[in-house]
Amino acid sequence: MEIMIDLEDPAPLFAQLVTQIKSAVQQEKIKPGDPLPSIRQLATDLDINNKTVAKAYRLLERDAVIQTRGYRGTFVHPDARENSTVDVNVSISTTLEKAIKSCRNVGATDSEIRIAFNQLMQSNIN
Amino acid sequence: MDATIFFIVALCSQTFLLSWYLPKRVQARMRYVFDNYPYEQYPKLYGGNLDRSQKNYRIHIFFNNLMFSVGIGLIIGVAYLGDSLSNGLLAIGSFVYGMLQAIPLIVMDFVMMKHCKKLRDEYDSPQRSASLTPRSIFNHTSMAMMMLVFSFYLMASVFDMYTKGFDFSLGFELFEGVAVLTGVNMFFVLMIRWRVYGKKLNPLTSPEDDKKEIDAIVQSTLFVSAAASIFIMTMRAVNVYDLEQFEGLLMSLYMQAIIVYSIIFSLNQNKVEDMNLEMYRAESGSQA
Repeated sequence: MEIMIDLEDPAPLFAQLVTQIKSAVQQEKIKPGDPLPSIRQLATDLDINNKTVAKAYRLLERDAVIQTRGYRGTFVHPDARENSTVDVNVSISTTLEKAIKSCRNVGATDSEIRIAFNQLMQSNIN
Repeated sequence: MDATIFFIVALCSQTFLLSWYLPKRVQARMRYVFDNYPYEQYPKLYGGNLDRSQKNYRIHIFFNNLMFSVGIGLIIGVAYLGDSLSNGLLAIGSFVYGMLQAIPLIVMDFVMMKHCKKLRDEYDSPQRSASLTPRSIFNHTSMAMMMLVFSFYLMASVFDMYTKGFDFSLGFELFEGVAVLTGVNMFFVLMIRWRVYGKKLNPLTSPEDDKKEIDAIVQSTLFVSAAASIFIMTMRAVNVYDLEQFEGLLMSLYMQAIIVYSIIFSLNQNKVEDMNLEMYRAESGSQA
């Protein structure tokens, strides 16, 4: 099973990797329990930075599409097929849409919402 | 006198195998490519320069003929001077001669690496693909083979220290042989690791041909490692049992064994007739 990325695609490389691996799981090209290449191998083969692949793997692990078993390596999660259909971005958009609507209902301007959002993000980061 | 005769026979074999038989097989392979994959249709095979490829072919023939003549000269010299030559000189002589004979092979490797780098630069596509199957050394060899080679390394290390009576008062001298063997094996490990886990050298090679090539490298490196262990053990035995007159003979046999096995194994494993070279066609796109 091969994956392909496009450096000229506007989508970030880590997002392309996440999409391709999820798609491979959904099409059953890779099955639960199958081993995946190491971060270094995938980065070397695609000639991209290790951190990009690491970020993609981190997001896939968060979504329970893959799992890392210590030194034994990375494997496709047993529930990968169901989990790969869940898109966190859709959930984020829905939640934020609701929050923005309720802020506007109490009379907040877009600029006030943006400032408040940025401040909250900053405080969470710090 | 017997040892000198044996050495001359080994030197004849070394000269014939490394400067006649092997180069003829390599040159036949080159001619096959020239005849069946002409430059006009497959320019990428020649790095876009037919003259340079033909010049390299002629240099290969010339250098090997020169080495063959040197070998004949050495055989006559040893036969003429006979027992007056020291054992150490014969051993060093056959080693240096073997290294000289290996020069065309080393140069060919460098030329190939340069050619692959040029291809990588030329066919650097924004679309990149990778397999989702993890690579492992065991895709290219078995665990049993690895264990066998490792046991040779252990045996040679222990035997080397045993012949020195495990005398720790010798300091580093006790571990000299072990250190050399470990250094050589570390180099082999790095080389195998680089080839198995590293970047694909030639972007146009098909995955099947690339795997065959790595198979050949891994197998021949494991063989050379085992041969180095056996060689160290044999040389220690020669020193301990005062058989120095066979040093030159053993060195010659060792050089022949490692070069002949590595190259013949590689040539048989990667037969040019079985290779898919269609991606080198002029109109073919990159498969990187």
